[in-house]
Amino acid sequence: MRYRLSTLALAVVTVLALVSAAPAQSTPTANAFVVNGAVTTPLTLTAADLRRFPARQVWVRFESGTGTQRHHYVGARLFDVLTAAGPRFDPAVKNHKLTFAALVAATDNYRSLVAWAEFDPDFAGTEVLLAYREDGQRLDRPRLVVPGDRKGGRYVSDVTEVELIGQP
Amino acid sequence: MWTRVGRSTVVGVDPVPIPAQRVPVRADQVLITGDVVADRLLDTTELDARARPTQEVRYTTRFFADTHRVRGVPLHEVLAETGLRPDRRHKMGELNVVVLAVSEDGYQVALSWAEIAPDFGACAAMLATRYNGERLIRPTLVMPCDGRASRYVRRLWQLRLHCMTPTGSELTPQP
Repeated sequence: MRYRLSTLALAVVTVLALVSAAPAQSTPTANAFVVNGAVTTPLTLTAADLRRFPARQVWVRFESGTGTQRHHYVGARLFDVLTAAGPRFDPAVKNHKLTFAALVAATDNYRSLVAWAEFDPDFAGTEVLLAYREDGQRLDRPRLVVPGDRKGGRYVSDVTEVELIGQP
Repeated sequence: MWTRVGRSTVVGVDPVPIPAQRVPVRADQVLITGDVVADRLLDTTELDARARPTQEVRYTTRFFADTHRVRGVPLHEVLAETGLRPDRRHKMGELNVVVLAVSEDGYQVALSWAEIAPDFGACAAMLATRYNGERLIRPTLVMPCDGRASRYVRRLWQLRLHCMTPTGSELTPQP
């Protein structure tokens, strides 16, 4: 119980720190990205802000137009970031969260979509990341990383927006 | 139906009541609609005739692990035959597509087109026509990659595809 309380307290402190650090209005600043859509607390974050979340690392391999790519990424789970923004799940609707998805956009307007269940640990549980390091190099803007995808189409570079879409 | 509220995009249907159907759907059929080349009705019998060999799926419930034998047709194969209508103004527009699976009673779950596509997530989603040997009236959506069965949609009534176009000024929603 003590562990659970301390974990809960840490989560609350993390969310409060992020909320206080970020204006409620999603106004992009240099190299910032926004987390908005069906959330109670829209966030404006930088890649550096992502370091406040528990760090995760993945080794991935995928096909691209230039051949097979292998990379090592460090970042925050998309699940943790969206949870910090407060998804507007309705507890009165059975498994409401399973009707949600995240639409992730880049500076060049390229975007891709990941269903909530894909990265929710209770379901498919893919370790989808907003990465701030790639092969040891710091990224100015995060990159969406979708381990397990055979092609790299959903790897969105230079993320500017994470929009949670779902029922009101 | 989905609408947009401000910068938010709203996906889904109201569980009750079920909206009026544009196409009459028999008790043994599934309607594929939305951003597809043309609406399509799937007969469960016809699906069953082309079902793949039986396979086992496992998931955990609140109390125990469960194993079932299922037989059916890959969801991606069915959707590929139907023909997606992605936003061609956007590079890789199919990666912005949501697949809503809706049951007779309005229960619904969302999948991304990419997670079921063999080139991307390849999650082996299936429209099962037989479950533990029992022939089904309507298919069950089976998600072998999920650790829980909440995205298993029984008595599947509709598959609704939505291309999530950006709300910015550079692109407008598809007609």
